[in-house]
Amino acid sequence: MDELENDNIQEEITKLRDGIREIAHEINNPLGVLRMAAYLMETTNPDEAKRKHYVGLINTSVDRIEQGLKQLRALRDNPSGTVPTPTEQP
Amino acid sequence: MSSSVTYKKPLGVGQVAAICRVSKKTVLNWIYEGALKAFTTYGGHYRVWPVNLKKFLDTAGMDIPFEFVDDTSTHILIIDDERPYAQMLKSVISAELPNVEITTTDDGFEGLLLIGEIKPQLVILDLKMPKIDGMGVLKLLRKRKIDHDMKILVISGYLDDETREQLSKTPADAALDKLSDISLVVKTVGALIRSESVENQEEVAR
Repeated sequence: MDELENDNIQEEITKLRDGIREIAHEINNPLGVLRMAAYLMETTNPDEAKRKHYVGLINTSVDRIEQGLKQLRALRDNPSGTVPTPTEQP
Repeated sequence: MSSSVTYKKPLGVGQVAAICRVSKKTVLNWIYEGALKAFTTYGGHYRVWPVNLKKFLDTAGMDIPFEFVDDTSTHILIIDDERPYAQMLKSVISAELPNVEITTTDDGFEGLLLIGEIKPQLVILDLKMPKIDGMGVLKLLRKRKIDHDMKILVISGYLDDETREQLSKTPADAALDKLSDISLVVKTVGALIRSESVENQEEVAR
């Protein structure tokens, strides 16, 4: 393997690593929201308005996780490509 | 000084001396020895949070009536551009520490301004933000002398080795992953606003 080819592979790996890191960030935020929503629903006996608010946040979080998984699939299909821009957060 | 006075704000050395009926020199000695926890103002004066004076009085077994307000004077600032996350974190902390006042902002620059304005005892800082990221905010805060007792809890979307390495160069008082167990988040926030050191940051960070 010549030096140039080796450099290219290293560059690809770095891109891939950055992409995965980016997606991990994208997914961890809504997962954190889900964890806190479950905690609040279990521990605080929320009224109807709060319960609806939490359910709304749960749904938007699930959508964002789905979006993150789509990004992950896009990265699998095109490892050296840039990570697609995530949809606007709710 | 009458025991009917309820203290809320940080106390000067003279005030502490009057409350304890000792000289200022004695109070300074307590501070130098580390027995009484104090912080320094921008002008270089010592200030003591009422809660720390109470702890000192209890530890030293001094029978001095001292009433103070603890939680109501506690203000937390959450700096996180992820609004749903910040909202939920605020709800969780409010549920567990109902007397704590919480302000949120999604902008690091605004966060820096708010720190000067509301003088929070704790800043919860997300690392990944547009404009100025949390690490930038953290670096600025570490360079600048803060004139009040303030702790920083970094809460990161993904606490990987790279982030840990950055934090080892510019340390926060504690660091947590956004997926950390809620009881750990609450425990850490509680410890930091009571000015207790979080002994094992690595343990907290996991």
